Amino acid sequence: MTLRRSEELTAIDKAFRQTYHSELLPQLKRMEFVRIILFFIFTVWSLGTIAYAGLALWACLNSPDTTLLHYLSVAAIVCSIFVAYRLLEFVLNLILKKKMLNSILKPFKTFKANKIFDIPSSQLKESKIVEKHVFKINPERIEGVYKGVEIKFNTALLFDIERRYSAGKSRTKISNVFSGYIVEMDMNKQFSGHTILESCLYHTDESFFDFLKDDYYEMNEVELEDPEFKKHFTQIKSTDQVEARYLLTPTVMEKLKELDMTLGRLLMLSDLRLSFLDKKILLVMKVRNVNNLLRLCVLNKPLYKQDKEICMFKDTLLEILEIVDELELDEKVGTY
Amino acid sequence: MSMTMIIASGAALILVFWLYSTYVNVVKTKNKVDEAMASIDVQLKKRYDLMPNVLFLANKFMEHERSLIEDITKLRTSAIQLASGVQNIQDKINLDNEIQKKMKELFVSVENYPQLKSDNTMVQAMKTYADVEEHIAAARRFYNAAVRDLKNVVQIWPSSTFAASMGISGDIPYFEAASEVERAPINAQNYFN
Repeated sequence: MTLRRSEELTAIDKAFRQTYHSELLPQLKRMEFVRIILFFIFTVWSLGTIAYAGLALWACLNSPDTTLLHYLSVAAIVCSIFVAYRLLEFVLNLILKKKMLNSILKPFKTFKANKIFDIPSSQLKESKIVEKHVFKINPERIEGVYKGVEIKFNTALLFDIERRYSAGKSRTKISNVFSGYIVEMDMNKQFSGHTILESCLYHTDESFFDFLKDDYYEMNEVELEDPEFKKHFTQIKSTDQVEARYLLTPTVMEKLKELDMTLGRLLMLSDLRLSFLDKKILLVMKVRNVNNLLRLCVLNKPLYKQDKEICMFKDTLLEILEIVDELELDEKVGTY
Repeated sequence: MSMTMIIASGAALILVFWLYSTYVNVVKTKNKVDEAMASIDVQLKKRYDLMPNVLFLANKFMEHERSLIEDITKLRTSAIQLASGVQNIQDKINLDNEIQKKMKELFVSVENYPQLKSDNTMVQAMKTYADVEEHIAAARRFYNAAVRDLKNVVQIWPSSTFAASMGISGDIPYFEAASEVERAPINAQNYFN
């Protein structure tokens, strides 16, 4: 099932195809030498590594003192080929995005790559749908207006720092707690409460002693009539039961179900979370594989033959814009 | 203390805890219905506060709908005079359905008055009214969910025993659509004859 596309989005899609042939393709052809250089580095690295690993394996097989650790070291050397591939592909994507992102975004009119704006961690924490984190990295920040609705689009990597003390020594462990997309949208309705939807059984800072916190009793489970919706969004909580139902009308529930399916399939998401607070909607989409996070190209294929990858990037943005149409965020209603 | 005593006191503790949690659940469910009822009252008040603005404009332009406007005014007065709370819920539902029906009629009649239809204040009032109606619908859904939970608590053992001893009855109506006529599917052909 796919969401129906509005005329505006169809026009953007058409304009993108034109831009691809007139602007992007020539640029990709010009940038091909970068990919060739990086692929050459990868090939040299791989051959060198394979030769070194082969020699090490040969030494292991002929030595009487060989232990399992030696074999594991050889395996680690071989694995470095994959690491190198991912790293070089990441570098290629980085260069490509720096040079071409604004050209790719051209059909989206007001949308621009913007390094300045930020969705602050305090706001993410307030939404209650984002993992507890100490610092975040936003490789891509895209900002624009669609049908009068301001949209901020981020790719985000969130990290938490854990300190452990054992035997008088302190150890610091940095772990990646979230990789995905964070989208902030304006809403035409001002909400007094806070409603959250989660497609997984995720909760920030959930612990047995949560009932001691002041805000524990503020958010209550919202029991909705649609059992199918409950399958998509396992956690629906709100500080205002009436407002949650005002927001989640049967029509909106149907649209959110479709959205969950479409985005989940397109972006390979592990879960989708939404927060409705004040005049903002925050969409948090966690991806299964961090390598798929707004990837523009792969390393082992000529750039000018990678239209699928770039179209995927465009489709991701179009899906985000489709949310505005589907939830009718552009329609202003009388405020009471 | 012997092992039997420990097991017996442990079992007694579990039993007390279970009974207490059942009691808490019954009270919570009952309170949820009251809360839902209160939220319906809040939303209905929004509607009653908005209605004079719509009626004032309608009265100014709609000469042939005077009786309808008067009916709505009377219904609004009766609805405001009705005390809030679960005891008057059936009257409230009936009045609400009646007001909703009459207001729909009024908004349909607006179509016959181009000057009124294009009046900015009226357009804004109608949009706001629609928004308030959505809030009322949401409050109704919350109320119906709360009533359903209460009915379950009152009918299913062991909570039913607690509910009976506390004098809690599940005999509260759902907030449903006005009549069978309104629920019936629309035949588009009727409008083209």
